[in-house]
Amino acid sequence: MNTVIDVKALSKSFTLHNQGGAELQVLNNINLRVKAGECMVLHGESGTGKSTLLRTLYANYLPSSGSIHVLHRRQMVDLATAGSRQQLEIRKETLGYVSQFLRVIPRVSALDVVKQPLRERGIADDEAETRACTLLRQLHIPERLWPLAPNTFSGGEQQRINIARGFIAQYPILLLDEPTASLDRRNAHVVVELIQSTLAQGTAVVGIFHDIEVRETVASQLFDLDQTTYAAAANY
Amino acid sequence: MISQEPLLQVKNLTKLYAPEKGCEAIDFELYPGEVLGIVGESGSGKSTLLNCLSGRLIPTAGEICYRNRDNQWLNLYALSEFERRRLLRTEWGMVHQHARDGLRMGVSAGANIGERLMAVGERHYGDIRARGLQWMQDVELDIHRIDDKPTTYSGGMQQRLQIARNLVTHPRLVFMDEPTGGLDVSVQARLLDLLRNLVTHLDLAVVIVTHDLAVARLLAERLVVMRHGHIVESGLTDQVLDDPQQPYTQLLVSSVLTP
Amino acid sequence: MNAATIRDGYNFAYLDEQTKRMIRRALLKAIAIPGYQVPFGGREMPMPYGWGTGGIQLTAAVIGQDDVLKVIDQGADDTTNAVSIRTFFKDLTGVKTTEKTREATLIQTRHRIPEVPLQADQILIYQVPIPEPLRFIEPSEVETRKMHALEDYGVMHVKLYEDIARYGSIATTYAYPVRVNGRYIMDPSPIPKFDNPKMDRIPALQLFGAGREKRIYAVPPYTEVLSLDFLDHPFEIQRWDETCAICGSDHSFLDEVIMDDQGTRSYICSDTDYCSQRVQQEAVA
Repeated sequence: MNTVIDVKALSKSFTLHNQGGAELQVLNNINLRVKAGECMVLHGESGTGKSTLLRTLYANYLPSSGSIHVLHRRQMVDLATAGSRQQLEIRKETLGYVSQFLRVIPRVSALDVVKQPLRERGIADDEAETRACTLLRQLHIPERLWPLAPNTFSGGEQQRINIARGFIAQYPILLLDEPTASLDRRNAHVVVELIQSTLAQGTAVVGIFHDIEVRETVASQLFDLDQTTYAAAANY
Repeated sequence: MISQEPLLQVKNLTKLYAPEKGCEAIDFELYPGEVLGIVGESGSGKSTLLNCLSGRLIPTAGEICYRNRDNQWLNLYALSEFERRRLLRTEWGMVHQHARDGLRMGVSAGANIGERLMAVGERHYGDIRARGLQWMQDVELDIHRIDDKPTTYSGGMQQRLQIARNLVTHPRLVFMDEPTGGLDVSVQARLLDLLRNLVTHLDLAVVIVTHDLAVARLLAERLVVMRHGHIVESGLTDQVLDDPQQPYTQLLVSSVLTP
Repeated sequence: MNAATIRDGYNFAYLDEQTKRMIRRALLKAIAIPGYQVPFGGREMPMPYGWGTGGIQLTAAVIGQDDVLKVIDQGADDTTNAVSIRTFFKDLTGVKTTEKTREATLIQTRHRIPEVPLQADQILIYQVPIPEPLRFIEPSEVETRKMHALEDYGVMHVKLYEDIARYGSIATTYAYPVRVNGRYIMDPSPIPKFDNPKMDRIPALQLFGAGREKRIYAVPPYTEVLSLDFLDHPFEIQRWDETCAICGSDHSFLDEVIMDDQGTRSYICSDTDYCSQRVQQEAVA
């Protein structure tokens, strides 16, 4: 299998201009490589920068130095230097991200939230709907909730909507930030199955999993941030 | 697609009333179907920039180039006023913060929607009315109120009417100046949702000026932050809001309760 | 100039010669650009605005000793306004006046166009209260001038649209907007829309004067004057089920007259000359 993520000498620090210019070094000289069909689990104590790394891989945070090459349209593209439009394109086609919390859009139904990544790619509504329904059913979201806006849902329900939205588009690279954190055993198991099947289809997964059982089931390699970071003062 | 040509190119655009009052050396590009947010506090020059962009304020320097339906590049301020006005009511739209700047308050909602059609030569009353009714529905207005004047509408309804009035000629580029300003939160949410859907379905390019970062996050893919008439930071909306680099942007983001 | 026939101390036709020349220059420009409103230095006239000061200044500027003047108000030669203006010019020019449309070389009018078709040697002068057809929707003069310059005329149909939306048909019955020579939108002054077709490609010269607003505009002979409309709501003129109670006409513009305290109504020709001509012809026959 070929490499789809190639991170070299990645560092990330935050400068807090409004707090006396305090400098927080969170990631220092990270090097990692993920191949298609592999699941890399980010491991480390709280505050070692797991979420920061994941967000940097999604170009949500800007790296201070180093490079993040991802395989996009059969070419390795550096996210760190790509323009905004290319970053958007990579997110639309190549790079999926499931955050811990669903950013709720008022008045949009759960079904539409899940369908959206496919609609953005111009996939026909009925096909998007079929795939969304399958996922929602798989994740045990009661059908009566589908037409409702998810802002009234419970934490676990919102997270499952978020997961469905992340998995529907079958991105070649999927970033998962504690996808099972607020899920019960039954649903956590569904997520594990989803991850396994997407890995089998060649998707590369990078994730943070606190649940040891889940971690050990899906991980093909572990990336330990405790070893790489020395200044871990920040709460990121 | 990345290889696509931009729709709008802004080069070194400058309009200064006094030093740091207005906008200076503004450069950016806008692509078809893209929503660009311009944020900044009052007095940062975002309205001046929007007025220059939308053909209503002649800049002192720089140029604004637009690629029209026929794939020709037009230099906005090199056009004659006739051509510029024509562009404004066919391929462009403008949604004002205050509905009374964007609507004719003295004539019915239907006439407000139909005006652009009539201005471009539509002469069939039945067609104009049918399209008025369709647009009333599309922006979730009660079609039975098509003959009522906008003065009898609520603030949120007036904004939706303004949107319908602009979209009736299927513009490719729409400018919005604080479209949700002064509306109740619940009404705002409805309008934002409507805008989001219209933007996706009609493949509209939008430049939206707002000081509300939540609105920007919801609608805009890219963000431009302005201060003292200059662009101080730009990038993907979530990048700028979640990992702001500049002191001013950090202050702006940290000052908001829930961005 | 026959000074003997003019009231003592006044110039021929009241205005001084320089003023008349100024107005004539404005008229030439107006005729050269059909339907375009030309500003002119309107003078104070010895009567209030709204009594026809615009029309009177035009008449004064173009009238010559050999002219034969007819003045009508709402089609009638014998109403106060018409009689006063006719007397005014009789006193200050000594020209012949007439009530017969065919005999007149100059016809000053308010609110009507005579029923008898006008000829090439005739000039029709309209008194205009508000010359700007876009004014009802756009209060700014700067903006309306720009709209004319750029042919930005979408709003004109907005007004007609409103009529149809509200009343089911175009309810505008007077001052019905027209497009002149395929270019300028023009207010034909408050004539009934019944008269609009009479402006189209006629041999006579039509001049319009607005005294308060100090504007002149014109329609040269044989110029196209089209009434605005919609494809599915074409321009139509008024029709009456009744005929004129005096001459029996079934094709002229009729005024409704209340005859008694019981509200009995009758209809008579608004054009008094036309009506009496018909009665005379009938008598001869």
